[in-house]
Amino acid sequence: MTRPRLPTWLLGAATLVAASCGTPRPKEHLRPPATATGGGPAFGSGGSSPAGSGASTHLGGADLGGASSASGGSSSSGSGGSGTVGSGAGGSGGEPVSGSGGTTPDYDCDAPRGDTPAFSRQALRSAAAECVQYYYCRFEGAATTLSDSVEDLALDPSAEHSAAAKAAWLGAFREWAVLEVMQFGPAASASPTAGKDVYQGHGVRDLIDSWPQISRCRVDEQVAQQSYQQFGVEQALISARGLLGIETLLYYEGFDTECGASTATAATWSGLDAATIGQRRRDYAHALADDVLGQAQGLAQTWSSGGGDFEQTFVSASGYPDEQEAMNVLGWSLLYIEREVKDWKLGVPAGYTTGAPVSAPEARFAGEQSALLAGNIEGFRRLFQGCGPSYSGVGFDDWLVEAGHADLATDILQASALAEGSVAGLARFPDATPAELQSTYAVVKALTDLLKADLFGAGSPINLKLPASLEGDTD
Amino acid sequence: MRHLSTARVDVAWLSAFRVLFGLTMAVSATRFLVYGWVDRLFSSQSFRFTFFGFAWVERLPQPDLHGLFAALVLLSLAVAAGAWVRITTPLLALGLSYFQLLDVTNYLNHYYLAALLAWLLCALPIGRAYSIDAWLRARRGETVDYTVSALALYLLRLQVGLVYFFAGLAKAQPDWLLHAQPLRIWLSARTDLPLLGPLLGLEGTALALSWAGFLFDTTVPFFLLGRRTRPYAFAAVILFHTGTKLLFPIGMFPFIMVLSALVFFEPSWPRRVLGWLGPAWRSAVNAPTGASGRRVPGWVLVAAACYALLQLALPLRAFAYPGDVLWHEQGMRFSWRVMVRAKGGSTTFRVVPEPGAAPLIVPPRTYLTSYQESEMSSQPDLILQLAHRIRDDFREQGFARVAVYADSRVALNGRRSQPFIDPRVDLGQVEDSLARAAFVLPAPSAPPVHTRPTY
Repeated sequence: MTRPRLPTWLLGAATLVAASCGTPRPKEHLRPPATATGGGPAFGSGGSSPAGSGASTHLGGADLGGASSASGGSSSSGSGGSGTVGSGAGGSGGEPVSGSGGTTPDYDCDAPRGDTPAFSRQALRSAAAECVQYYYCRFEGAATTLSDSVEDLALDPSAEHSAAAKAAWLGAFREWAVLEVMQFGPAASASPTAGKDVYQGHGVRDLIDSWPQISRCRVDEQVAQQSYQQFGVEQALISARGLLGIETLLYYEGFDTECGASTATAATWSGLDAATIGQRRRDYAHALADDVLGQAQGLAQTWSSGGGDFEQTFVSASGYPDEQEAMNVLGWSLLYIEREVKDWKLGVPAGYTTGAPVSAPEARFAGEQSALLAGNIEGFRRLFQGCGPSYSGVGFDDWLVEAGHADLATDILQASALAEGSVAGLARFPDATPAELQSTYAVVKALTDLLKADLFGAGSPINLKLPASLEGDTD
Repeated sequence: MRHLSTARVDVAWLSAFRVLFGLTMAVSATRFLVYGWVDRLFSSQSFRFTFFGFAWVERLPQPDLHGLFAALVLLSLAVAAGAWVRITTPLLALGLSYFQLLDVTNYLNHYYLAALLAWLLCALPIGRAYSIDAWLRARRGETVDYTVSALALYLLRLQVGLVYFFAGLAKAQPDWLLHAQPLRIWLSARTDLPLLGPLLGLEGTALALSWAGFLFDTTVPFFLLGRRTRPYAFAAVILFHTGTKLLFPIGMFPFIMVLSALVFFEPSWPRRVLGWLGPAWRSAVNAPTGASGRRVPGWVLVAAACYALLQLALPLRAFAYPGDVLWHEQGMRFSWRVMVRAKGGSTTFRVVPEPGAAPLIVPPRTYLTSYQESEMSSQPDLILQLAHRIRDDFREQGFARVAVYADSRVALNGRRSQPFIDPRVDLGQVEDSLARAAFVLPAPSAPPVHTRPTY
């Protein structure tokens, strides 16, 4: 029997303090007071006790402190309390607008209203479909801006255009960070090991955001050989394209190549001067930005009733073996927080996780990991709570309430609010200390423990399976 | 005792059982190959959980595992055909047992039952008639014996009856009979089924089906034994297992149980069935003739009695452990506690490399596949095994005084999760044994949450 080697991090991390030992769980006293008012921005500012509020009408005052009047008696809890726990990193007040800091454009997309029809599993899928399409629309808008900005940069490499392209890249990636959680339907991977959507996935996500599969060398190959001009971007490996490919091209400032000296890329590279490398990078970035825009448009089109009408396939569950399996697939999106966020994005830099297929952090050159994590947590809440203003609308919390498990819904809402707050408080990763990362890891783990021990798996009160149990026999 | 020793019955039932069992096993092994389970369940793990006393069982290389399951398909077909059964049946039993011993997380009651039945068939004259072996013997001029000792029939009836009875006994507990859990959870997820769905969502359905399942399991072997009640009982068997197949992903289990229930019929039932097909078939299945007066050797009777006692003792051993077996799991396996718990959890290991050092966190994902992690998280002996592996890895790196703790929460039958393993116990110091596992915290005392059906 082959034994895996003891991970090197174990030795290297021996001095780290595992702040998450005895993972803190949401405290009873953190629950919002029963008299908390609903409506308005879910999270105020300045408080120190993050907690859910703007509660679902189903949850009622006893559970989350009063029904929200926002959005016409909106369901699904918003959250209230701390200023560190606004929706999205920038505290957009629970509005379904992602991004951090400053005003984010609305891209002329119809935001979900957060309606709360009587709960049904179909209503939940419908709400999720509406949500994901709203964010696809937003991402398409951001990708258009990105494409235009990078084109301007390719034509005129001024500092102004460079700054605009970087800002557009960040804006697009922040939009994507919310969608990154929502991996069901064509965006998702169909690979059984990915644990996403084996039934309807087409892996489009990897073409937009390939993390953790990233490689500067693969980007350099395209810059040096420019084979994309002959064969198209689609022939490039996923680790050389997408938003992270653009990030490398926009943010990496050195003129060296990551490819080994004996490679054809290195040989070509050595014959290029800095100006040529710069221009080729901008040209390839332009091609990639156009490709990302095309993928965004494709996703939006696939879902739309005027296009592929995947919305109908998803909402009716006709593309899945049965309705419960469609719910499982939707639910597995939530587990992005468990594996990708907790173990990979936080666990690796915190020194906890080993065995992760992570060679480098997400957005390593831009250093915007914290903002992207905030988008991930927001995506989680949009699915779990609701996609309307103040996280109103139908979510998994309503399902739990309907099934008689309101206390679990409450605990997950509180834990997700805490996680959102903790991530929002993180410094940019290069500046974040191990202790800060471990602290955030612990807070996120409190949320993921609830997901793994209570919401999913063989003990799930709503029979949500883990991806691992796919197709297996029982007993 | 004299009756057991001398009574002989028509061999037709045993031949029919052999054919049906062989075909079912062939389908079962084929499913492993077709669905990719060979790779997913047996090849992809870097760590394997072993059964107590069977840690010595080694895993074959991946191509050989595929070969093993291909061989199981062929062996099953050979058994069905009654070809060289003195060789093929033990090989089949060995193969079925081997793959189950590879990793505890793959344990399923119906795999275990299949292995038991295969081993029983090794001891029975399954190739005596209506088989390639019999045909070959007839060609050599040997007389075909169309009878078999009644002991064989009784032994199989006992085996099948015990499965049902203990499966019923396992349901005699408050979660099942008073709170209809976990059935209430499982049925809620199937309210989308055409026709049946709305029925499953009715408030009383889960409780009614819980009681029906309990009564069915505990009584059906007795009704199958009665001549008058047998047809109705068998109809109930078909109805019950069709229902479970429809509602739950339990693979080949319903097929195995339905075919197994046939052993309760009169030994000549296959002749009657073939006789219904017409005169040609009727003439092909003449009345049994054979060696009357043959006696079963005494040592065979003793061996059969020992087997029967073992099959009684294994399920009952759970009662030797205090507490709820569904929680502490001691005595859970090999005791036919089928579909009685919805249990899941989350476990993380906390490691203190040496006294006074800062603790480290080891996620199970470091060692386990997702499936293994999901199974391990609610089974204490598996948590202990992985803790030992982590301990050993640290020791190899020079941390001789390493301590390994588990932070574990488990949810049972719709209750909220609660701590499962005592987080103060250094699992590295706990030896795996059959003794009571003191490191398992007490079971939840509160009743399960009343899960409402959703649509």
